[in-house]
Amino acid sequence: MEEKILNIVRELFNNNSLTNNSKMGDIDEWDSLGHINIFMSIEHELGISCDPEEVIENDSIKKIVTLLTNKN
Amino acid sequence: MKIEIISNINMDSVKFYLKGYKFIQNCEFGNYMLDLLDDNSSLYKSESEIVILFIDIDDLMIKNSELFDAIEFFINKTKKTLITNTISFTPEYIDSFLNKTLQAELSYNQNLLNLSNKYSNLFLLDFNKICKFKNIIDEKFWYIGRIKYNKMGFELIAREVNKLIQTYKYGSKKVLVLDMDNTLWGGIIGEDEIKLSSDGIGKIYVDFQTKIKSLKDLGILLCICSKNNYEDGIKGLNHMHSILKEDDFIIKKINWNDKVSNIKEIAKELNLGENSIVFIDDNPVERSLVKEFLPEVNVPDFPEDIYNLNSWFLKVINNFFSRLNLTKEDIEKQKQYEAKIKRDALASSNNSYEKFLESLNIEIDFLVDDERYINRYAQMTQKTNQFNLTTKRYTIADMEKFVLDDNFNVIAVNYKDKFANEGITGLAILEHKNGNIYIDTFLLSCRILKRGVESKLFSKIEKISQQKDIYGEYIPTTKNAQTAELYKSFNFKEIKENKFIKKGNK
Repeated sequence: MEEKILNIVRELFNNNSLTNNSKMGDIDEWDSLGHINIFMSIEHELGISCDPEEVIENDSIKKIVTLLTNKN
Repeated sequence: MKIEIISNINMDSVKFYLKGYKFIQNCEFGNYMLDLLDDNSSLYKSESEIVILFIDIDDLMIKNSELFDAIEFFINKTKKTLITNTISFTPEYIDSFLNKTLQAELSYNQNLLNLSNKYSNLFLLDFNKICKFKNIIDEKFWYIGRIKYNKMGFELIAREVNKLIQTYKYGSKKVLVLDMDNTLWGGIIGEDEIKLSSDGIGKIYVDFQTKIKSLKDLGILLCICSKNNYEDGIKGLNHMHSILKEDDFIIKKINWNDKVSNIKEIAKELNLGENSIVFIDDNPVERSLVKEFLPEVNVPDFPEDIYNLNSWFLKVINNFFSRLNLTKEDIEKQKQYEAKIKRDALASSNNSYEKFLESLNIEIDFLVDDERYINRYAQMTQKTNQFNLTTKRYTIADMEKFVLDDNFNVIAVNYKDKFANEGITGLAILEHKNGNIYIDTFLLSCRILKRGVESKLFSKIEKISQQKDIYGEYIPTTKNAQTAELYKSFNFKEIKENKFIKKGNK
């Protein structure tokens, strides 16, 4: 799961420097708009739906991975 | 290319899907009207070259007329290019059966179309095309951040915008000029069995031709510019596997003139600028010639590996032949051009060809009675058909005899220019008899034609003849018509049909 999420985020932002420890604000692209786009991509690629609150709260790779693992 | 997006909804996500462009973000969504109408706004002052105005009709809070006024104001005041979308209401609009919405949609798009016809820096993004795909809208993200589309939606929008920008940037060309040998098919027609077939390597060329044909259906004018005997070229197009037929080409310059003159004539006959022409030829010398003397003509490099021909050509199409619009007139035009060509007389040739030859840095060495290459000499007499005055075929043993016999001279041409070392590509055999010189064989390989090599080879013959009378003969075949006048061009006199003499001083 971790790898899948990382790939999605890297592709979206066209940035391979992102790691498991990356979080919102680390790079310019990952602002609030970028953050919503991460969830848009995740929902598209993995077919998992998240509530708006979940989108807003889970603002790092680690948190997103935990969220999605629990949802599975 | 720098891009800026303004909108009445949150469309900034497009930047994640339009890779390869630089995005400038000055304007908050929703402020688009102020940005358009204030010519001191950051929108006017920013360094973006292209502005995308995305209007979401479901959420448009102002009158259409106000929006159009603002668009017109902006394009009059700016040098930037504006791309805006046609509109399409959400499918399940409320008054489905009252037709009011339909009317609004049609009238909005018609007004926009009128504007874009009026201004050359306004382009339309056909949103109906995007709406034909299902599931492009995501209501959740709409409520989170006024983001209307999902990933699929943004990808489709980005794809259309990209095509539009590429077309705007490169423009669409109108004419595709094609070489024949090793371009439309593999091999040399008239010399070999050409490669054109439903499988194997020949299929590469069939697929290539199929794509070319589809360009014709898009209104692109097809022409040929190829150094072949006319009849041979036509024979190639009549090949059972040839997708392209004689009639598909509006102009066919299948002759031995230089290609610069031919392409100039094509532009003149079509009454189109040279910049509307794309020229495809596998031969780097020909490409360089055209690039040098017709710098406006578009000359894409030809793929080194023929297996890449088709993917390469798709890129060529994308670069040069994307259409901003295709109208009925485009198709009609093909017929008009045909009529025009039938009326017009052919244009005259150009005289800078000599300059081009100079720029090639041609180096020619002559090998006289050099035994080392007799295999190659024999091979040339066997294979050369087109530039071959007598078409006499000789074996290696024959060639050995000529080289060693004092009554014969064998002169081989070793050709080199700045692009390639073509090696031994020309041959003459002279016979000394009764105090005269008889030219038994005079031939040049196709690869080095029209480079002035023939006159250099003849000068060499004159040198060897030491002012003796020189006799030459032209034996016509179905393939060597281009050499019929050669001796006359060297100031020979015709003494009998196809027999020529040049008197020396001895």
